[in-house]
Amino acid sequence: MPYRVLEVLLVSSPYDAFNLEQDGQLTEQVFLEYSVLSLPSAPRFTQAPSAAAALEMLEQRRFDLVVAMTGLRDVNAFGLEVKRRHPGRPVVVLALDRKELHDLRGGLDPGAIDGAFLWRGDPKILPALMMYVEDRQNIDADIAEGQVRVIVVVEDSPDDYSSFLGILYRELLHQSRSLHSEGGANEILRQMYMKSRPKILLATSFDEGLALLERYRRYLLALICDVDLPRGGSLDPTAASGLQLVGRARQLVPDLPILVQSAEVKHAHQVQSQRAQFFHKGSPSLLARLRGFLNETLGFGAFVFRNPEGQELDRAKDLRELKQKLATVPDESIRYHAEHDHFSIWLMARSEFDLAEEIRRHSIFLDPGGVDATRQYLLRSLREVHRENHRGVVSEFSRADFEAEAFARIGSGSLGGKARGVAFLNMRLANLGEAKLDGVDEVDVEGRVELDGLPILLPKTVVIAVDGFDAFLDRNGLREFAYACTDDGELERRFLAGELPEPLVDDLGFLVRELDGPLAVRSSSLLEDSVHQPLAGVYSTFMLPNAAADDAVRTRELAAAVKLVYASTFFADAKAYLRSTGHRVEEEKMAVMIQPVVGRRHGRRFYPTFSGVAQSFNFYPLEPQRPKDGVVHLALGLGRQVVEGASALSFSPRHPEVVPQLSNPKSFLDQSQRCFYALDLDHCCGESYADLAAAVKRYELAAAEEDGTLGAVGSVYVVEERAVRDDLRHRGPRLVTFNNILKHRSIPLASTLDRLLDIGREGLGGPVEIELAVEMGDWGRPRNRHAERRGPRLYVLQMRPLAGTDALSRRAAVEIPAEGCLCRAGSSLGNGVDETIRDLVFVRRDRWDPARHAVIAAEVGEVNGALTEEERPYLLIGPGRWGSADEWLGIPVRWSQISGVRVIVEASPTGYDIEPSQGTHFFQNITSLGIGYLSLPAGAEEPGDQAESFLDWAWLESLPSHRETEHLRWVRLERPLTVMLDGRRGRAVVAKPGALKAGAV
Amino acid sequence: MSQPIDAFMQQVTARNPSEREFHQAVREVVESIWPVIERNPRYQRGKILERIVEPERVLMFRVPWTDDRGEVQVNRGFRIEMNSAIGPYKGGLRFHPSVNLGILKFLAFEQVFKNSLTTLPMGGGKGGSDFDPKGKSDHEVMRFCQSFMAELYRHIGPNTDVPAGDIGVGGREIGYLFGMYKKLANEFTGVLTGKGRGWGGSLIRPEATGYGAVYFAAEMLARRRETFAGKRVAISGAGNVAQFAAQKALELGATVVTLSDSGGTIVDDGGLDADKLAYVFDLKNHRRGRISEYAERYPEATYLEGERPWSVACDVAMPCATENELDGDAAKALLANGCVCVTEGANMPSTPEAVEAFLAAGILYGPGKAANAGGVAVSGLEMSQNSLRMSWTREEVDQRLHKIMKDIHATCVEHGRDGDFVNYVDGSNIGGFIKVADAMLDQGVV
Repeated sequence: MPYRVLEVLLVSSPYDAFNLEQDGQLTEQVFLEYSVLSLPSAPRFTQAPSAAAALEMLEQRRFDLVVAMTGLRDVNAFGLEVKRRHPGRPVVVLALDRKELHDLRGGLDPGAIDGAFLWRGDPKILPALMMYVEDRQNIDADIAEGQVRVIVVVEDSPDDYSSFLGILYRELLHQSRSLHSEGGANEILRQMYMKSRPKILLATSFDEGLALLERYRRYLLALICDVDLPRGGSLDPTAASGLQLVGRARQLVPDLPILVQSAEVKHAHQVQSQRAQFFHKGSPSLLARLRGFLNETLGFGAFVFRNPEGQELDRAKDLRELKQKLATVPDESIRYHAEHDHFSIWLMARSEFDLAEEIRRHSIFLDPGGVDATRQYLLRSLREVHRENHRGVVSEFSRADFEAEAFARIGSGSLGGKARGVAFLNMRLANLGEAKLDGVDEVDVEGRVELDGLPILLPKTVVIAVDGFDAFLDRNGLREFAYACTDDGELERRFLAGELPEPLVDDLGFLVRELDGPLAVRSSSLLEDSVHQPLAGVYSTFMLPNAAADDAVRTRELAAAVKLVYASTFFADAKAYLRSTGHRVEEEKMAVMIQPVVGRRHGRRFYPTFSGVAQSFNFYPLEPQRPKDGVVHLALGLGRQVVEGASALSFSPRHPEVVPQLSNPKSFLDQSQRCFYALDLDHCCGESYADLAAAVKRYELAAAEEDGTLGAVGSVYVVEERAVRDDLRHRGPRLVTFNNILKHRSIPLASTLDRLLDIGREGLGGPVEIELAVEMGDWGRPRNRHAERRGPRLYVLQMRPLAGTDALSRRAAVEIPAEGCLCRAGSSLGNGVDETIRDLVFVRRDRWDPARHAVIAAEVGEVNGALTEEERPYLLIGPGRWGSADEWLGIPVRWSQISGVRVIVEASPTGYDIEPSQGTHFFQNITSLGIGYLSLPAGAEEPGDQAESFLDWAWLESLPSHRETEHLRWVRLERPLTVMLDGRRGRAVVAKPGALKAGAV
Repeated sequence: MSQPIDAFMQQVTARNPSEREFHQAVREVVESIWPVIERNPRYQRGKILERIVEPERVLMFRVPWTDDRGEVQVNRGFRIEMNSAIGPYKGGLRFHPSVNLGILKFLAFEQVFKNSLTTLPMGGGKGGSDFDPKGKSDHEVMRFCQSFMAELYRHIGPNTDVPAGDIGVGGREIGYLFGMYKKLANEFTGVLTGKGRGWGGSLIRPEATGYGAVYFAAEMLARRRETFAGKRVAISGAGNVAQFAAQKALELGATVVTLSDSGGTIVDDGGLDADKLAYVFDLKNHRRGRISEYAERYPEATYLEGERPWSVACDVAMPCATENELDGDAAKALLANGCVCVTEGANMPSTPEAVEAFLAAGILYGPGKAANAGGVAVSGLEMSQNSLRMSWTREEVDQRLHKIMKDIHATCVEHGRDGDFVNYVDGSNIGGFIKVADAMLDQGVV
């Protein structure tokens, strides 16, 4: 009996567990594999929120594999305890980032942990992991049966093998799957082939690799190895031990297909001379080339309706088609498939486990009505299950069921990060509704959840899954071009010229008709917004008025927006960002989320009363706020105002009556929102990027007053009384204070958001960020006896983990005397110790001028380019809000202009007091990349042991320049700085080179 | 000469240790009026200096209150009743964490001379607390104000001490304070100024400083037999002071050629007219826009990004924006371009170098102390209206303001004249002092 991973215990947060369930590609792969092997039960994930809970669950049930994801205080101790209680039970570790993995690896006890892998925001690692464990356990038994072939992978970097094994297994399964669905192979052959799926054996050194080659020489299918491998316990970079291994493999199996990977192109020639293929590790086309390699050496979707003779009658590529075809295929075919449990198996593969189980149990022979009754039963079951599931789960897009579905997917691939967050939220809200959990006061007839009487809704969402993206690239031959092209304009042109598959265009046509009003078209990439992989704001999002009279015109606009979202995957900014986060462009794929825009029409303008972002952790708490109280940023109109870091109103949902910005009404006059974003319904879109993007326009607050939306959130500063009045009848400057809502509680916004954040935090198992929009409906408007009155509604647009808060340091910053510090900050972000920075870039105090901020940003970009070229991390010092959209408030750098920065210091001269950055995307990028962010109060210059915050300008300015621009100096140090970030207390110290030795450590 | 000043200052320092701001303020006043002291032995004999630096009364009291979480908080309340020689104590209340005895004494000391200069019957005082309204809810602010007034009410009154607002004390706080006073004292009187329009506040408060500065400038010009008519006026700032200064200057026939904000300056060579000014009012008071938008709306105007107006040729310059906005270089540029009059609408907008340059050139220089006293004056007018139980119309208040500015100017001339030239800096310092000093002598040793 081979070892099978049927029960997996995942020690992780509920959010990660959810991702596994919802990501179609993952579940399909895992379940297809298992169901085809005709095993009676499918593998199941059970999630344990802690080590203690995991141990308890292990006592109660059998688990075949334990995956400890992160956050365990002592992985070794956990592993040992599992092995002590359950000898031989595999335990693997999934680290959340490289650093964690690196820290763990040295200290892993091989007796406790069977392997360490890196989670790169892509769940495909999990099936790879399970198969790795199975292959390891089963190989000898399989060999004994003599059916199995082996691919040996020799790679020492966990970073590389984690990514590579995922790709490799997926490709293998993908091919098995296509074979499975193909018409040609007969049942027995197919079963045989699937069972004999090539096994992958991993070695992490020359010696291990050679042992595997020798042992399994008769079963070898291919060798994939690295050039630099440790041999005899040490790594000699000049030895190219991998090439020696290739030589040995050639001797063992002369015509063995061999693939050598290396980051160094110089080995290519030598590799090729050994009749092996060479892959460059950094190459964006690695995946495509691997696919090619596997296709050459090895040889898989739809339900094929056959008659008992095996003749193909029809095929259904998905559940929707299955329902359609079921109605028309001949009785004999239904009988044939029912008898052979084919429906059940196929449905298993589609993750429809309950249905599959139900159909499997339903014996056709017991159906007194004969085959027709079976047909009706199947159709009914499919529809019922569908209806039951439509709320809170990801349904397959179907025009017939469209009205009932809250969240539908076109295609069968992954939803991407952003859409996954929305799907998760959809499920949580549905669950809340069903369970009437604590905090849910009301569930109305439509199943809508109300918190404190405020209805919480999600806009209807349709997602074009990532397979649509792949299909588009392949159909139009854009893949290689897109990987290589560096010209955004050219990308835009070629992508717009590309054609979407016709069925998709038909679906888009359906959507522009059915979804009344403006549409939001958002990117949702594999890597975007996932826990440790922030790409927030890097890809494009469009809002379309969807108002042209001609359906065809609207369909074309929507199609253009979809193509442009695809194109944005490859824009220069996105590529730079991927590189800086250690990803290959090829790893990235794009799903597209289509939603109605939340809002209301006001003449030619369309917008919600207000939008915002709620975060469960506040990086910049001001009295009486606490970090864990969270923070909400709101602005009138569309959310772009908030997301771009423009003037928004910030408050803590636990202290809505204290808005620090409003403490001084006069200074709030300069800060408060002056403009808002709205969609111009009369905008004729055309089909270019600029045209589509231009539909969202900026309007002055006066327009909102005209539209009657300002009353809900606005106040007036009455000059002669030096007072803020929450009534627009007064004369004076208009302020967006949200007083009517926060102080006078026209709607229970603060308490609702507080609870929503709690729900989100509980679900994700950590700090959360929620994007929202509120439409006040007919609030404050005169009553109209003839029309139904619309109440205020809160729409949740997105939810994602708030990065940078999950692993707050247990190590406090060391006390160093002031003279040893370049800088000390009483307010900082980030966590850990960095001892690699030898380059300092700072805005010269004598040349600083807020009017020159745009120029300074360009100079920073230049220096950043030079530094990233040399792969040198650097520390950046300058005034105001970095990355501000308003260049008066700080230096308006884009991400690509600071992509190589490791630590940022906000150090403003006296008098230049700028509230810390609230641009949420900028922030997420900073915290997720582990970038240290130090904020010094304006004018903090005097080093002193008592000073909580200071910057030793005198020392800094005494250093010789490495290079200078008009406004910047770039200093290179002999020895590195030591940056110590205490994430828990939000404090940081940057020690001068050598200060630690001299200091009190 | 400096010997006696130093000796006096040593005494002040010894009696008021660790009140640095107060020492500084006393030194400045004493230095500017020393010649007057020397010329008038009665002041020395009457120990006016020694008496004037000693507050008549200092109140320091506990202000306990309960925050929204139910925790008891304790702050310290102050009222410095500095001098009542010419009227009830008058001066603001400041709620800010930096508030301490030294700072309030310094502010109260300056207030005595400021109020005196307005020619209205107002003594000097100052008060407040180390309470920080930042981060407090409306309810917390209210409970604090009520506790603060629960003690203060017994020390103030329309004929005793009339506090006003200051940093951290705006319309909201004045409202809460007044409400509590009314309840405790069981009387509705003008015990605070800066009240709401519906319950005793005066009209023309926003206009007063800007109008007053122009009235003052007009008086200065009149001494040279000139008027605003046809003058090119460069105004900095675009807030209340600048707007109303521009409005009044236009009324008087001047050509206002500049306005500015922190982003830069607009120059409209043809001058602003009523429509353009209405646009600025809407831009700044309603829409909170940037002044650069003016140049977009009116293409004939140019926008000087990041610059101040002082390089623009003008006859009259009115710095109405912020402290130290006019430095030595700017002063030279103004003088080179033929500027004949500088009137300060803002507080201390000219640096000491700039002031020196203006005095050396002998042009008309109206320091803020005198030229922007309109704001303080209207506070006094609010008191007058309250005690008369009348609400004057805009025109009535404006007329009285005009009269006050004329009187202030006359005081400056009286005490600052040096031949044909008037040193308004000396004039305002000495004028403010003498009125108080003489009243003190008259009232005996009390």
